[in-house]
Amino acid sequence: MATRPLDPTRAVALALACATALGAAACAPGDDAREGVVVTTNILGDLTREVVGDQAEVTVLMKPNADPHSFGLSAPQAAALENAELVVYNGLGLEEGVLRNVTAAEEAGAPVLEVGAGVDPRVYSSGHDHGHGEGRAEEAGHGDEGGPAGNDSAGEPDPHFWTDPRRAVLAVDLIAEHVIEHVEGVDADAVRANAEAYTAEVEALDAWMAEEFGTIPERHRKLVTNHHVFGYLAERYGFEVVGTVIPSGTTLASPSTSDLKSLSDAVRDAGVGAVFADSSQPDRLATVMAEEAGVDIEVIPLFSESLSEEGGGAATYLEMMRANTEAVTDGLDGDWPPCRPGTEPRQESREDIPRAHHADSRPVRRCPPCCPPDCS
Amino acid sequence: MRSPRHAPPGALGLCAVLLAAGCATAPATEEGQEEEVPHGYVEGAEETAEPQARLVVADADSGEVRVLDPITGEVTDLEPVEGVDGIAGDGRFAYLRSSGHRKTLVVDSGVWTADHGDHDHYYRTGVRTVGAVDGLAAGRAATDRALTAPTGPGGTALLDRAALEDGSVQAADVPGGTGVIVPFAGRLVTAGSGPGRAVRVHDRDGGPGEALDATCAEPRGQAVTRRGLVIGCEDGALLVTEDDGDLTGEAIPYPEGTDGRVEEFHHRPGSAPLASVSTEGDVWLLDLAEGGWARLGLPGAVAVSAVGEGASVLALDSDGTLYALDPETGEPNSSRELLDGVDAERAPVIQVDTGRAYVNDAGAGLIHEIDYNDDLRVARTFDPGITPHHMVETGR
Repeated sequence: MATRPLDPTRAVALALACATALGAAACAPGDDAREGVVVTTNILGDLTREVVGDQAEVTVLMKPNADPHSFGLSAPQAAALENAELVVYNGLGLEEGVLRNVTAAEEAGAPVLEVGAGVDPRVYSSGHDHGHGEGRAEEAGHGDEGGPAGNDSAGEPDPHFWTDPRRAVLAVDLIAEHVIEHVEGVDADAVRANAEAYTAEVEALDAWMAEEFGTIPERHRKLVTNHHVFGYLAERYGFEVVGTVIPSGTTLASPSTSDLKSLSDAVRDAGVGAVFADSSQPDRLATVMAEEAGVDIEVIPLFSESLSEEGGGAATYLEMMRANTEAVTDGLDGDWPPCRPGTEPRQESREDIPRAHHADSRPVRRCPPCCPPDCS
Repeated sequence: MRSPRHAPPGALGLCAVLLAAGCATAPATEEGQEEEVPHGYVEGAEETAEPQARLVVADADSGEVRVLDPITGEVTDLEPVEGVDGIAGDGRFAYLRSSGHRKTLVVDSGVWTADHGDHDHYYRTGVRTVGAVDGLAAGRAATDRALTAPTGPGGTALLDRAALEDGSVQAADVPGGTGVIVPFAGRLVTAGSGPGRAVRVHDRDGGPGEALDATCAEPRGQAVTRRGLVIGCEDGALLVTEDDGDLTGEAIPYPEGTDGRVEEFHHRPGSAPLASVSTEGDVWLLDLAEGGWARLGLPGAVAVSAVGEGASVLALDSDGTLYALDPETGEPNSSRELLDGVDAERAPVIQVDTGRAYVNDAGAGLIHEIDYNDDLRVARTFDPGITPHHMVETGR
């Protein structure tokens, strides 16, 4: 390889000379050059647009259906961020791909708001409520990597606060305060009025979600999932998150019992038939689980970390939360487990579940694998 | 605003470029400033719910190269690599070396995992040939987000990772060198780069760096694990770990009663235990959790890999029998006659991911997919359409 780097000492000397010659102005645009509100994630972008209304321009960097962890910026986007009157970002480690741009913007004097840090974030307690829920195959796969790999995030704040609408209300307040303080020319009363009106909508959402989830029998309030974002929702509405590995890709092509073990154990222990997971082959997954593991499941996708395109079912925060609420409620409050058309309830009992696994410690009724309507 | 176009010519013109680089916030890929495609969020790449896998295989006689996708069953043909005699991988890219031509062809397999600490993200996109590294026949490759370091007998090249992802082979702004150079913990760790046994830690600016207390003679073989960087040295493994930004080195001597050593490490990427066929021909396991070596026996082993902590070590002997060895005792937990025979000159490999292992069978022209959690059951068998003398798995 022919590599001819610039001699570092020479480069530094040259840079110093340049700084003297050109002055520091090149790196630091003055405040008067700042314009608009720039938001990193599309979920926060929606909240911010609701708050700002027509009072200022809001630029959202993350595209619909993208991954907040890994999306990155183009050079013009990075420049817009650096020159913003206000930068709104989720933080708590969520937007890894743009964190250094946010830091650079802050160093260049842009006011930045880390929303996650200001909404009373919950803390990952241990490898169980989230580590297990990560779908990190090696953890549930064979229970190894107990060292640094398994519990990296225990004690760290959970960045996915938006799954709790009450946290979203706190976020709206924060955004409104910062917009009023930092964005020139906005009508403070108008921004406050926007924030209040939207807060009322989010509070109504929260009440509606509580009501919907309230229709799910308490013992069925279990999210068997490979998503890692529903900790806040679980805490707010009294769900238990049961993390699992979803058999997929190569293992689903020719599975053995051990490939299905994590999911079949989770489903049996939780006593629910709905699995909230992304799977590229949900039908095959359900078929394999029924045929190979004797477990009837329904595979239901949820929106997790990104809004969708317009018409995609989750174009706004409110739409995303409603869609997820309906999906969870439909999945959990029906007959357990869902009867497949044409299947007769089987005679043998479902595997006995130790009572200790049930929080409500009511007597466990043994249901056959496919329940008649009166079995609950 | 900071366009060099408006700067005075001559030295100050260069100044402006340097300043722009010094205060620009765009990722390194976007120094050109015309770059419109966001880095990291990959246009054309699809984020998937599940881990992806692909197998890059090469026929040493014909030079033909194929990429097999075990999820879709698709096989992609690539341009032949004349004299190909080995493949290394870094999780996404495959490095097909031709020792005779002192050259390494870099192929983007189009599948990879992004490790976000508490969870992973998985991506897939198309397969493509990226370019060639001349003057180096790379036998292994290490990478982080900024730098990729293919290493061969002649030393190590340092490539710009973002450029690789964008589809071109470009030297990084830090020079490569002789010996082993591994990007690790935001730094570069070098061994065997100069006279003596010193192991040095350099910052990314390529400065002279500092020597670690521990030393390493005759470095051969390396692996980056979640428990640290491991380099194979003459009388033991060197483990380099990071704590709060400080790197420290620790020598882990080879087992007592042997004159052998290891020259390569094999494991499921992301897991800590490292398995090797020693120069004495038996299977050794370095368990970083326990901090020591175990000799697992199986004289005449030709290929090996470790599945994970507390899990089996997979090993293939010269008769073509695959074993799952107990990581503590070395006793076979299960075994399966898999290949009719093994060509010692072109030994097969065992590639392991979180669900399956893959073994290339040049004699039969097949690739076997092994369920190592189910008594080494052959889950599926693939025909790549060429003789798979060499193979590497990516996506992990």
